[in-house]
Amino acid sequence: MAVLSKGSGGNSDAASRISRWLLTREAGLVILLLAVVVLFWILEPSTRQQRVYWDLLREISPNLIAAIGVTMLMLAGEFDLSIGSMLAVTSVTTVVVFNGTDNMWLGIIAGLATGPIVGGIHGYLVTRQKMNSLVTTLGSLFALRGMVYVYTNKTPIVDENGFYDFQDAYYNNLGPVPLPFVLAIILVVLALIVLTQTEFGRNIYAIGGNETAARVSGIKVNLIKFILFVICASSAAISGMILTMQTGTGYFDSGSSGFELIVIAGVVLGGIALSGGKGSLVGTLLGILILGMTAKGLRLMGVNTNMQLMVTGSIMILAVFMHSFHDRISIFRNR
Amino acid sequence: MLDSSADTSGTGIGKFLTKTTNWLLHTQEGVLFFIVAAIWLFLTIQSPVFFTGRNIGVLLSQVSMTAITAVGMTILLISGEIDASVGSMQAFVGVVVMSVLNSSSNLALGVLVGLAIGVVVGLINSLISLRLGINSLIATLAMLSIVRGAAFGFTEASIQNTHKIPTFTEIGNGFFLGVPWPIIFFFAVFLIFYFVLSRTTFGRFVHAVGANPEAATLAGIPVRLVKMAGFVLTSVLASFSAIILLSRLNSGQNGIGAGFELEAIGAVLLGGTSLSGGEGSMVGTFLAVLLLGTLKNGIVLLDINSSWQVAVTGLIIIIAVLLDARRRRRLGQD
Repeated sequence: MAVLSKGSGGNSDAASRISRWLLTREAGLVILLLAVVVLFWILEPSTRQQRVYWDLLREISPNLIAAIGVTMLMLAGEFDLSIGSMLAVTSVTTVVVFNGTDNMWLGIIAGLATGPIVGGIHGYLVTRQKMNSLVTTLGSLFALRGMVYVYTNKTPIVDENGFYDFQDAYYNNLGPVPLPFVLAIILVVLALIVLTQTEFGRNIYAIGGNETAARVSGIKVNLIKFILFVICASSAAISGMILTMQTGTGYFDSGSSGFELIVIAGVVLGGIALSGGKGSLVGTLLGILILGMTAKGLRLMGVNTNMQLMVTGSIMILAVFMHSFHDRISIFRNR
Repeated sequence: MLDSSADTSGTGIGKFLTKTTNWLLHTQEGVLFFIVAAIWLFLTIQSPVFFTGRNIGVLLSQVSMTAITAVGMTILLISGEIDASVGSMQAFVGVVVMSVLNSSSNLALGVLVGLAIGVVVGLINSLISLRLGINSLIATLAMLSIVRGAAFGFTEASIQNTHKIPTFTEIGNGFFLGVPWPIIFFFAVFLIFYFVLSRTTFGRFVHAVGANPEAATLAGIPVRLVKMAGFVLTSVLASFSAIILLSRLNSGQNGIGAGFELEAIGAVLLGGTSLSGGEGSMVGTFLAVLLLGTLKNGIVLLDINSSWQVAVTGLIIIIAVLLDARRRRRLGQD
């Protein structure tokens, strides 16, 4: 993450810094993002309006917020596949409490509280019971979705009070910027500070890099992982809240069409290694933007939703290949 | 065990009992067997319909598709790789095979095309994972999207059966000597690959490659070839499942099979096969598939809200993994 030099070493220094930055993962992703934008600019005239991009930022906010938690968890070498089902848990809980108490704030608090509860259970099962996180959260993907189905009997729950402030929050702007995206960026910046400037953040990378070494050097691996599971489920709960604002209903199938896969695809596209310990949140932001822009561009071109899947899949393979190619180049350069 | 002759039958039986007890208490298979047996007993008492030939036939026919795919997935996971694209294969193979059957009225051709798609997708999966060096979970998740897209690209609506080949309907719904064909396919595939995995050189190679690829390479095992065989096998068996499913549904539907990959992979992991490779059990997979199928069947028979199927599947996966984790720790402490 080199920043342009502030004139300290003259032109050659700035030039070398720029050339070094061009070899980072992030530079590759920025170029890919620009390429996607330019491609759609040429192919589809409707993407030439500014409004399209503000809409895009509004739409990707839930994905981006969930991706923050997934990124932090994956950096420590763990997974959470249940985030799609979490959206429905939060959505249904929020609206049920709305209707039960006629109080908007109680509903929001109850909805958001589902995050730490589910995350705490995951954290307990993985760190105390030593269960594999991929399979455990695959189980809770089904368990949570099933419980929502049972509770709602597969009918959407309508907000009887019609809390307009709640629904407006999704569609309102701060200046030109959509409110959900403002929230997403605040959370990204907070997480970025935690990851890069605090001991907690450095410990996350240490655990993902080599868990045994981290444990031996006195890092509280289990405690940190527990906290990360709570953060991940909580960020999914915030995403679920935003999607509930968008529709104003508690929807049992919220996030059921592969939300977890799209978010993980964005995270991996952003360069987070599946084995943990490598990658940055800036990469995740770019990864989510690239997938979001691609999907939106194709949608505006009238391409079948499911054909969009094909393009998303291809981009994923391309990006992971790009990252592994980049790794090989950096090994070569460091020799 | 088998060579204990008649005169040492006392110790033979003793040994057998010890071995059985150890199996029940100390292996994932034993835990699963215990859970399945308990649920079968419970359902037999609760519902007069459960333990009848007809219902067991329905139960096993329903799980046969997941089971056949899970057999391939077990071998692939032991070799240290994974295939998440099998769900979309159910749709893509289905729509293509049905349209081939409609245009050619030739059953053999349709089935061959279906299996050929399996070979091609398996080769693509192994090419991306092994040649380009992309983690197979990500590679095949991408393929999950691509193959689903291909199914929707192939047809906008579902393709109905206009060929009316009677043998085709038999594949998923017919009987042979009173046993439904899907069950015969399921047991045949299971027995063949149980034998391949435990008794052949290829089976030993699969374990070696998954346990330690470097050591396997040094020992002269063609690591990439073994893994490639695993990818192709999984994909071909997924195509076979798709053909049985197609026959049962009697129409090629481009949206079918969403979440199928989670069920198949979930069953394999539930059966005690390790995600990190090198370790796994075909019997465990069999029992896990049976467990998941029994739960669904039981929920229908006991007239419980069908939404519970999803929730109970998830809870059982969590409980089984919990029991396995506890067992591992106990063995580790001994």
